[in-house]
Amino acid sequence: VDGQVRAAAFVLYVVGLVVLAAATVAVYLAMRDVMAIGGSCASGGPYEVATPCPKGTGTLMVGGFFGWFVGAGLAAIAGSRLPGGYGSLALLGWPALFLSLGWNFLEFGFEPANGGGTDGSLVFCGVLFFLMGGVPLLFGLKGLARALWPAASPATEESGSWSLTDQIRMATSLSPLRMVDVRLKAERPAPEPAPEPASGEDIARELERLADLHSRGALDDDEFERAKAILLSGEEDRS
Amino acid sequence: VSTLYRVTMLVVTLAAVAGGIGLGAWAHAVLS
Repeated sequence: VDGQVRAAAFVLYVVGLVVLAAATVAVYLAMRDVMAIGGSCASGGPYEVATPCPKGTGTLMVGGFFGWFVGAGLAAIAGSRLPGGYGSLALLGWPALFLSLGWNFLEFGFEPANGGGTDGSLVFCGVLFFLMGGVPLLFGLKGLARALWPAASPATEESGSWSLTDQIRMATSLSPLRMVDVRLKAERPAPEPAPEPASGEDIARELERLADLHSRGALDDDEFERAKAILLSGEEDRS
Repeated sequence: VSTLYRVTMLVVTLAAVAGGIGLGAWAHAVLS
């Protein structure tokens, strides 16, 4: 059953990435079509339309945005089920979308399709989109580098996966829409319970129990040392 | 998680993104 779940997650992860990339490209190209005829268009409705939309714009835009969310969600959820945790990669879809649309704004802002000089409002949109895509990308690339080359990163506690702090930094920098990786919940460690006041005997008994767990392999060396330190520091606090 | 698995996933991921870009460009060419 575990193998089947992983196989399904793998297929859905790939499908999600394909849909996400295709949707981003569709929105990007449809936006360029509209920018090329002056930046606005309309179709349908009872009014006389001054600038009809290029063919396929509606389908590509609506389908693109809808597909973007479906693809990102699919890739994030399915990817987080894969060994190594690949759900965070879908977060890069955000910078991809905003940087590509920002590029369109800048390109047509500096050289508007209907001639004339620089269009300040388009350049402003371009800068805004670059900031919205670029800031999360900085954190995303850092996490990606750690995921791809775990050996090169000094943080070993989560070697091989995108570190939790990087994911949180990236997710919280995705303003105003905050996308939080589903893995955040799964990986968040349970808060350690505050050590209760214990007598000397209790501490000795706890130490024995820890040593027992350690010898049975339930706790590794590091966990054992930390648990022991917590236990003993509780003892010092009271004395 | 082995190195082979990571490399395979990297290749699959890049291929999926490249395939998606191609699919999006194809859809644009067909629809417009």
